[in-house]
Amino acid sequence: MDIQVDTKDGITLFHLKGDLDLYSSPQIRNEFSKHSDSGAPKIAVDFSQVEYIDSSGLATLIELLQKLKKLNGRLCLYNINDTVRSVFELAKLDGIFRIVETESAALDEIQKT
Amino acid sequence: MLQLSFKSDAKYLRIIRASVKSFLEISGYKGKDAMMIVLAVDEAICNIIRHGYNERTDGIINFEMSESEGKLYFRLRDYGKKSDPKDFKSRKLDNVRPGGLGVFLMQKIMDEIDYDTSNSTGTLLTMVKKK
Repeated sequence: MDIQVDTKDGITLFHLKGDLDLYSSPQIRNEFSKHSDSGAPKIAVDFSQVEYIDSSGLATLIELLQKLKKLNGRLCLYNINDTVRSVFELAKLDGIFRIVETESAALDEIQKT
Repeated sequence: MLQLSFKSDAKYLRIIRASVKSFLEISGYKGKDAMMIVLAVDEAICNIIRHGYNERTDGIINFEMSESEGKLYFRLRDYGKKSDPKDFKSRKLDNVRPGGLGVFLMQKIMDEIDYDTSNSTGTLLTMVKKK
C-alpha cells in the first residue's frame, strides 16, 4: 500500500492508496504509530483511493481510534467509496467512526471538537 | 468449478480476491454484492493464515469455487490446527474492539458455514451463498 502523509492546520492527513487488508495492515499500523504516540494527535484518513477493506483493516482503525481516545486526540475518515463504506456498515462501525465526504469537512470536523 | 492452491501467505490475498471476483462475474454477481462475497472468502482465508497456520507462510490452502442448483459453494481445505466452531462467537454489536470481526462478517454474508474437522489434519470449511 502506498501511504502519503502531510499536515494541514495541525492535522495529520494520511492518504491511503490500495487495499487495506491483512497484508497491508502492519504497514499502516506502523505508519499510524509514528504520528499518534504523544500529545493529542489529530488525524484525518483519506480513503479516496482505497478500493477494499477487510476486518484486519477495520481492526487497525479501531486500534488507532482507541489510542487517540486515550490521548484525547481526534480521528476523522473521509472520501470513503460506497463499497468500502458498506463494509463499515455491515460491521456496525459506521456509527463509531466520524466519517465525512470531503477533506475540508474532515478538517472542520476535527477542529470544531 | 475452479480450483486454486496457494501458500498461507497474506501476499496472495489480492490475487485470490481477484479470482473470486472474476468467478462471481461469470455467475452474475457484480458491484457491492460481489464485493461482500469476496470479503467473506477473504476473511475465511485470513482466519486460516492467522489461526490454522499461526501466521506461518508455508502452509497449503486448497480452494474450490463452484455453482450448483442455485447455490455458490466456496470450499477451503487447510492442513493446520483444526478449527473449533465453538470458539467462533459472533461479535456483540456493542463490543467495539479489534478481533472477532472476520467471523462476524462471514456469518452476516454467507447463508451456510460448515467446519469439517473429521480429517486427521486441518479443516475443510464450506461456505454457501444462495443466489
